[in-house]
Amino acid sequence: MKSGRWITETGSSTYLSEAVAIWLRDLRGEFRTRYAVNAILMFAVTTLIAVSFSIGSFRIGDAEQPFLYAVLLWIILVFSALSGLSRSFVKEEEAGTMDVLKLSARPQAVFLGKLFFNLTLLGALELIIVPAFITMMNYEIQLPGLFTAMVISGGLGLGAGTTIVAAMIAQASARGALFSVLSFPLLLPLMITAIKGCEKAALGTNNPGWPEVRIAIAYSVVMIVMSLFLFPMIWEE
Amino acid sequence: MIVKVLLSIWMTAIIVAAFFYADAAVGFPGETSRILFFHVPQAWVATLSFLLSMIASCIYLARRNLKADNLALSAAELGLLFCLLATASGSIFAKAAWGSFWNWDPRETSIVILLMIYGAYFALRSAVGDPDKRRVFAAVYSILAFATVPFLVFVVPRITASLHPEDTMNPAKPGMDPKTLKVFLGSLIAYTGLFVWMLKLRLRLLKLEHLREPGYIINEKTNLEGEKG
Amino acid sequence: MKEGLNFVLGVNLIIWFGLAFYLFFLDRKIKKLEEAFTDKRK
Repeated sequence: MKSGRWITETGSSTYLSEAVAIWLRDLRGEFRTRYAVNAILMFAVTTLIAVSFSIGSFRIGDAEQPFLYAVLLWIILVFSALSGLSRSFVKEEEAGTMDVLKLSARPQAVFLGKLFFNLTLLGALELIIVPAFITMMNYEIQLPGLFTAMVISGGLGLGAGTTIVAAMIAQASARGALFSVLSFPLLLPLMITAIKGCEKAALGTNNPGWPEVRIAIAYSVVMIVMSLFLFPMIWEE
Repeated sequence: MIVKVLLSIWMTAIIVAAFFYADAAVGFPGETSRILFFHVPQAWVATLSFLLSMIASCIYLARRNLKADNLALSAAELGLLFCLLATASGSIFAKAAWGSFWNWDPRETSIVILLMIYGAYFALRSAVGDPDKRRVFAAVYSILAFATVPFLVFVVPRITASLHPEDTMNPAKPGMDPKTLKVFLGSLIAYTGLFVWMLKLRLRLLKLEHLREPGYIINEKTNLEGEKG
Repeated sequence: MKEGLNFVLGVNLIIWFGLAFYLFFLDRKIKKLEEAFTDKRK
């Protein structure tokens, strides 16, 4: 990869260039196989249809809608994320490329690269599912700006809280539902905040400074910083 | 040994006092406030345990000292136990005082989250085969879980209060009436003492397991030759 | 109401005594194991 701009004077690469290299490599792999994207989208679409179908033509009251729909939306997003985000590391384990990865880049760079990849997946997920949800369920949103900000910062938080967990479970012997069990308690504050934020956006309550968005961003920052610090310990043997 | 006997007598005295020395608090139906003599110390021990486990995890990561991990594990086990007890006693209290077993008020929510973190911690420990990896991973998870606590402290009350305004009543501490206070503090001491006793027993067991050979498990059926019953 | 209290107190005491006896039993068991192991190593 030509990375003239990113290479320092001594010719060694920066964290960022290594991370981007890993990110691009994963993206290319994903374009070819579409494995993770398919898994996540299939889950999300299926759940969305199940929700919409089950509610059917039942008219949820205008007073309840902002909150209930926010809850449903985030349940779909969180569980779709939990179904697919572990792929970023599990596929390395399955392909036997874990060791190569450990040798090829510094731990923090590996983490960042995988984080970027997960965020890309989440971005795609939200781009497709959120409009679909709003349309299918007739979700009335008074403050689209706040809503979008909440969805984006919530997505950021989802990636931030789960990437290091994915790295741990990929190296564990019994995977299965472990990823969900471990991630969910960590994601709880984020989920609650995101639901609250979307509810407010739907209702039209415009608190200055958008506190929920800020909390989600703070959460993301904390989780990323802690992960950068802790990742090398679970990555090196 | 004498301390343990004294502790046992103390706890017995507290249990009796909770029913016959202290008065039932005003503002709670019937005698239900008495549960709080047990429920609050249990919750207190559960959170104390979590904190202890987290600190031990930090020490383990910094120094890779086996004793630190033993402490982290033992504290987590006991924390889980007391967390279950606290959830159960809290539920019973909620049913008696408010009519339903579960309400998702801030306290209940926090204790369930703690329960989930403990559960996840043990799921992780049992899923990793290699002992060194297991210890490191568990320690890392413990610290990550702790990092979410400030958010929970901020976020949970704001969210749950506004979702269920009628449940903002908080059983927190019982009234300031001196007899109640005495029993309450006495119970805190008793439960903390019980926790320390159980912790030490567990640590001794873990140490024996390592002495014997790595990976060897001792339970109450192991006889003196170290064979399983 | 007071008779109910006696009952609950009784249950609590039974649970506590059970636990305390079990802990003392464990304590003794562990002590014996500790002595056995340190003797073995000598």
